[in-house]
Amino acid sequence: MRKVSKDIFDKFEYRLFGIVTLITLIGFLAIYSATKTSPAEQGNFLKQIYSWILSIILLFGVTFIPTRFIKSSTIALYAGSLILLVAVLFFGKIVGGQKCWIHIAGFSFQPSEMAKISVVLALAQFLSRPQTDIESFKDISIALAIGLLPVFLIMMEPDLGSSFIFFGIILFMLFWNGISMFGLFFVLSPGVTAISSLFGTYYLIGTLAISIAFLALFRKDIFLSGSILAINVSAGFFVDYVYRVLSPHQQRRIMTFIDPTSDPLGAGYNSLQAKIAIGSGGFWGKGYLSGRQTQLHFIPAQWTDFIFCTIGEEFGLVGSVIVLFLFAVFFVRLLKLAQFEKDKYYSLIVIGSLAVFFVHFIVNVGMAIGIMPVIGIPLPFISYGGSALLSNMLLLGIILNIYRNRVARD
Amino acid sequence: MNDSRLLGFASVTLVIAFLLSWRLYSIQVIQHDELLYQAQRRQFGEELLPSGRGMIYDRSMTVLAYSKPYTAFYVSVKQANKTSEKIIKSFAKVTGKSPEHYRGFFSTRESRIILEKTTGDIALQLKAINYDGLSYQEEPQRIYPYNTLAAHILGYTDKKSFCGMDGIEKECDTILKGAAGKRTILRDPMGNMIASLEDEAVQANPGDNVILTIDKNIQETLEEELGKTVTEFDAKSGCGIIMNPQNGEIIAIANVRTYNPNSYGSYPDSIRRNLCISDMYEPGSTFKGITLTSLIEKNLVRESEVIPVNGGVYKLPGITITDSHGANELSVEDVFAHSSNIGMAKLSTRISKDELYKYIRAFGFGSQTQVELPAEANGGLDIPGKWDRVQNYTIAYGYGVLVTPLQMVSAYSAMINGGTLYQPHIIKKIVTPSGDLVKDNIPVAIRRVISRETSDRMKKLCVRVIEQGTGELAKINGVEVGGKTGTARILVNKVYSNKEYNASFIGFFPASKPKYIGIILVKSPRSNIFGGSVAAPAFKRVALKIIAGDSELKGLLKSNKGDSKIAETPQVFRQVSPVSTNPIQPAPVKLAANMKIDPLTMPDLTELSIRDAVFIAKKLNLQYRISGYGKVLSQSIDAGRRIRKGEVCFIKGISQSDMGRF
Repeated sequence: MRKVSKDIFDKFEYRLFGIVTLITLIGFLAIYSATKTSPAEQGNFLKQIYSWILSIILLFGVTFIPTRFIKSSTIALYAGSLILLVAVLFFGKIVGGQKCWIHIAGFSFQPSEMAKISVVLALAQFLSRPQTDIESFKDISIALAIGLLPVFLIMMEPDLGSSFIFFGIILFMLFWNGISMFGLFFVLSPGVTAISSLFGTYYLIGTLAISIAFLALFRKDIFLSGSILAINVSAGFFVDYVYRVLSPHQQRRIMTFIDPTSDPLGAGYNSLQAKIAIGSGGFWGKGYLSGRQTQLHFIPAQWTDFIFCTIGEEFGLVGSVIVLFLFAVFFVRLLKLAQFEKDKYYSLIVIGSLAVFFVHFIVNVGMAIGIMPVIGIPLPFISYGGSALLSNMLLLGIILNIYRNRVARD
Repeated sequence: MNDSRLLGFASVTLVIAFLLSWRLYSIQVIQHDELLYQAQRRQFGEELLPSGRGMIYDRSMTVLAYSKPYTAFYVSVKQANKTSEKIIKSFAKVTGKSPEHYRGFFSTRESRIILEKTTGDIALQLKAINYDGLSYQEEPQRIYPYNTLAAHILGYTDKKSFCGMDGIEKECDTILKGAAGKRTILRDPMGNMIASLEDEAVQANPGDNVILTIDKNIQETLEEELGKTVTEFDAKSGCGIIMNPQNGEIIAIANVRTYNPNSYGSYPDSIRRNLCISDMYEPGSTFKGITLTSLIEKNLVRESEVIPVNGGVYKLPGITITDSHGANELSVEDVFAHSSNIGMAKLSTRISKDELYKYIRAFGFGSQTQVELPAEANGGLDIPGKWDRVQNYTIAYGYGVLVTPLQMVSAYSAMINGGTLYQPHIIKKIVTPSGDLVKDNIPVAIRRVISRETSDRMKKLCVRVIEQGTGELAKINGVEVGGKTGTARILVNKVYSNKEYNASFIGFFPASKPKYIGIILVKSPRSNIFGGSVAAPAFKRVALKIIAGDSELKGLLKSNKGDSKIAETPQVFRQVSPVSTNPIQPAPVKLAANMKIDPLTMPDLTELSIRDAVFIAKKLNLQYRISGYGKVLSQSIDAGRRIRKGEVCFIKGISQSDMGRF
């Protein structure tokens, strides 16, 4: 039992909030620079500030509500998300060939953002139930279903990028929940096999061979091992079958996702331009507002998905590493919080949120520096986008709420 | 919660942090130079700044050729399949033509059609129209305002490349063309110019203007009279030159038939040939002047000497020489005046072949005159060692030697101007567009060919040709004319024809101090064959008009029977109206240099050239971004408004988004 000070800072995780605020401010600078010379996007800077003000209000609201509200609203939130994800397929506005946006009363937002939060909450709730046995086939299937149901709907938009986040959430939370290595293998192997089947027959056979090796290593009974192998094989063939049934343009979309160089004028082009921008920044950078690659609009969506290029080009290695460092501190801080949190439910929420931020971060930066395929997902707190900023701040608000109430639960 | 799981997360985070940092270090430090080069290769471009082509003037600064900035508007039919109606309507609205007019262009199988080619305000308004598939291109057009006038002198320019293809346009192509400038531009991924680095720009150097020695009025007269003559005598073709014998300035060069350089493509190559300098012919009797001059200069003959001319037929081994008149003996001056071949052949035996050859060469035959026009012929003159038995006699009266009309007229100039051979020239001056002198062509005296005394004696002999000889029809009351006729058979299939003749006349006036010398050559006239009756009257008519237009000579003119009307008509020259009434007046131009600039207030940049707008923006320390080309159409900061610090002004020029470069 720790001593509780009356200091306000004991109630408010100011370090976490401070780091995020710092990252957000860097985001403002980058958005200003990235849109300065595009007449059509110039308003984005102010819009982002308005969104931020709104999200701050929301954050404090969430921070200071009774924690039980979070738990009690989880099911409604999860159900609402699913309804909206279905609704967007019917009423969504098509942007860039995808139906991701829903418009209500002049506001537009992405239901997938809300789905991320609700999956984190719902999984935390399910996994933290005392009767849940994560090693049982039934419970693991339910956990996967909770996580993958929204993915299925999001895939129909189709927004492959966002689906990635959910795999991250499931994986992080199951891992944190203490799933055995065999369980982890059971969860992961069908997915890996399915993806490898898209690369071709040899990849599929190779993956299956590795799976067999692992199964031999785990020395489980032959019936269970055989079932898992069967699941892997059918997952591989099923994906292959689905791929063949898809229309050519959907196939191309998937191939570009797997191998950007297969579309050098589309995703490959973006990847190259991004790398050139960051590389030309050098050690110290070209200086704020002086990045030519940015200011001449060589990088598409440079205020959203490729915002890291602006930072890399104008602030150089120094600026990029500072941003990386801030995120690292942020993630470590979240890990610590999860570690200290004695309640499994809240600890899982923190890890789930960490998963959301972390996967966004790693995929976004990875794609900007050319070590990840070009997947259109934003950099948390930095990329332009009100919907993402609001949902990120909401998650942060939940974390701050958990921190604030940790003593009450002790 | 779970320490081993925490360790798992921590190690994953550490590995990823290291991975990202290493990757950043790799591209931002190790690959920096390569990627920076890649970036600059994409960001910077070089743009050529076209230079305007210089103009061509006559000696009194009448514009004979100029360029107009036309813009051609194209439609890519495929790209415009949705926008064609909008394009048609917008065009019809601006030009006032009917939509059907434009719609008609679309009913073709061509993939790229030209809708309009225009200039000035209409072009500017059309440029503002921006639809898919519509593009435009600057296609300046060379305009020859007097159409066919002086076509063979001016030549023409290729419609696409805008290069000079003939005449002065070709000869002075580099002078007229100027030097294209270039500037480094910053461009966006579509290749559009965003800003330009004016400090490093090399300005375009507009071409210089060429002022010719040509007199437009005399040129016109020569063309007209030559045309009449060719028609009157049903000749194949004709050509003529008027020159100043005292300095070699060419005043007019005419060819019949001629062509219109504005539409050069619709004429065959043969018509575009300048016969005066490219066509070699056997001169016949006019060449007798050269032989006689050599004899006089060598003091081998006296004018009063009497020569037996054998009643018009003189048989020699291998050749029988005939005269067109049957006198038995003639004085030397009458041998020349009545153009006796027999007399000349006999006289020529007095001078050695080498000596005669030396004089012929000294008069400029056998080599180009180096006039500033392309495709000049050398002429044909063998060295004496190669002359055959026949040539020994015939060269003396102009057979067995090939000359160009220009060589002929420049040789006669030397003969009658006191003995100096001048290089014929047609360019008087070259000046910059602002009028500064680049080059002043002073007459080039090539050599003294004969003494002044010989020259004076030849002049008298030539006057006698007009007064009492074959050139009577060129006589002008009041102004003494000298000259020589020529009637030469044409070789047809290696045999001298009985039907085809070259009728020529060389004349000069006033004989005391010749100011004008001219040659008229009529090829294969049908109704009359003699130089004295075909070419001499044409020369006289041209001479009369020249005299009427010459303030010095005008007063000397006495009434010429039947010519009085021409001589006394005050407005002698028919006015040829140019294509455009005001061809060289440029549109009023807004200049950056005239603008008052307040450093805090946004000036009105519209109508300025992008270049000037950039200049002003730089002066104001204003950040700017440019799109488009040419003139500024709009600016994002309103004129008159205070400029906020760090504000970026978007300067929009004429869109060039789909000029088909990508």
